[in-house]
Amino acid sequence: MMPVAWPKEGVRRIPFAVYSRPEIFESEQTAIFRGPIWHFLGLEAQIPDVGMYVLAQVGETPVIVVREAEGKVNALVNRCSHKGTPLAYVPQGKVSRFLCIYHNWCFGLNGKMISAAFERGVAGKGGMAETFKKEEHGLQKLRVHICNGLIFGTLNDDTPPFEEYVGADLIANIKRVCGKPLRILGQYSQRLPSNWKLYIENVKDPYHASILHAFNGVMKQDRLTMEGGIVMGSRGWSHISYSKLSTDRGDAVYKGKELRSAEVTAYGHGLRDTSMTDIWDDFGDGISMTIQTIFPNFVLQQLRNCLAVRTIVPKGTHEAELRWIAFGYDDDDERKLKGRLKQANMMGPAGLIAMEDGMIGGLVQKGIAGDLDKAAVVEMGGHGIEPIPGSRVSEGSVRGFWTGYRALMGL
Amino acid sequence: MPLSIMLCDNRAMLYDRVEAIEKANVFEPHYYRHILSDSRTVGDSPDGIRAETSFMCVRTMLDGRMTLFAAGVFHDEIVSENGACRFRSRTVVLDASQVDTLIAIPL
Ligand code: FES
Ligand SMILES: [Fe+2]
Repeated sequence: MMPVAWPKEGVRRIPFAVYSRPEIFESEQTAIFRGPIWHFLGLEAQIPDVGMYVLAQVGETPVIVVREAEGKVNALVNRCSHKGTPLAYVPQGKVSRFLCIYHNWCFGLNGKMISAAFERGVAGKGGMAETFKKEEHGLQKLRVHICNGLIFGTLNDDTPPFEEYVGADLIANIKRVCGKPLRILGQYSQRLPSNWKLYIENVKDPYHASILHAFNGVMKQDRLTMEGGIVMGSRGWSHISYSKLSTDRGDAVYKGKELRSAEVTAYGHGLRDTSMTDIWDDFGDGISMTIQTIFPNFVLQQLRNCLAVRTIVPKGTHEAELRWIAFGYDDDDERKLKGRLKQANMMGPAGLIAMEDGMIGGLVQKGIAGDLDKAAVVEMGGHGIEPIPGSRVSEGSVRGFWTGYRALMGL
Repeated sequence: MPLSIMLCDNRAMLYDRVEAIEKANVFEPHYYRHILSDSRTVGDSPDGIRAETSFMCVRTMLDGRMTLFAAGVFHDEIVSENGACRFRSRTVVLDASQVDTLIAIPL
């Protein structure tokens, strides 16, 4: 029995208990992370050669993503089938097979067991029991789906096909952003002092973007007065929020007294330096910002020309890790490469726009402490998850996340 | 890999960053204490010298919470101008690629 009763209002209320109760964190591991979801594991560009691998984390389950052959990527649970030792503990590398350091059990890049040390004993004595069959002790594999170089995996047999899980509009945006060979520019991570769901909710919430992030509003990077909208993925669980830079009509609204960003007059004249405003249209569609999520914890980001993927790794009720990988394209010239690196000042732990997102969840969790039987109010844009055409003044995408969450958690 | 957590490669960008921290960005107030060691020169640069210094940085929040926030090395280019030494550039290389919560104030 779950320790949380969802309020009768439905997804326009979020019971505080889901962020803080250990029992909820436990059930999420089974119902969500080992449940019927597609989890982002890495980029193909991270493992271009045979034998290259990166480590990933699906909830608490450690995973190795390895290239077995050209065009073939495997995802294996990073756990020796003897006693459970991780087979790889360096975050990325290149190997010809996985050899466990503890007792030298050996596995191929496809996860099949190759050998065990002293399998036949020494000088005819000892050795594995008659009953031991190597074919039965391969590594646990995840089902893998690759979409334009993004590698996803699932631990569950019932997960629907990726296209069905995500929806055609979202697949189209992945193709738009990742449709040609990617060049990885770098990666880093942040420790978030909050529950993982407070971060994904924040990503799915266009309401806060130009308010909490004063830099955003005054830089006219992302204001709700720009032309834009929210596109919902399958069942409303995943989403895209987008806007067009050239269409802002918002000075009157943003100069209104009620918005903190309007008080920040320093940038009235714009930035002194043009490195971050010297932008180009990567996709020829005038869309300057897209933030896409895939339920439960993946983000594909296009902030002008600043491109990245983010994954949220839950670590405990009050801690998560946010992993970033920034990328450009193989065919970027010097100007584009430099431009992306400079625009990267907007993202990450020191991001002029992103930095507040790293701490706001922690503040929320401090605020809700002591009253976990109460709930958050999420009614911007109505009660449901239907997008409002042409508008981002809505928390519909946040309610969409909770729709998926409730379905899997049985709450 | 070329990505940095923070990148300012001209004076105007430095101004913008400082102004953002002072006026736009929101974060829990805190301050840093750097402990420096192992400074050494590592060679000449076109107009001066290159030097390295190891550092540890303790972050203290207003309520007194202290964290060993970062450790790493500064790669500096130092030039002499009118008899004074000035930094031409400073590259901060962190030992870890993970940051606790956020970096508002440059290290
Ligand atoms: S735990 Fe891996 S060989 Fe024993
Ligand atoms: Fe945000």
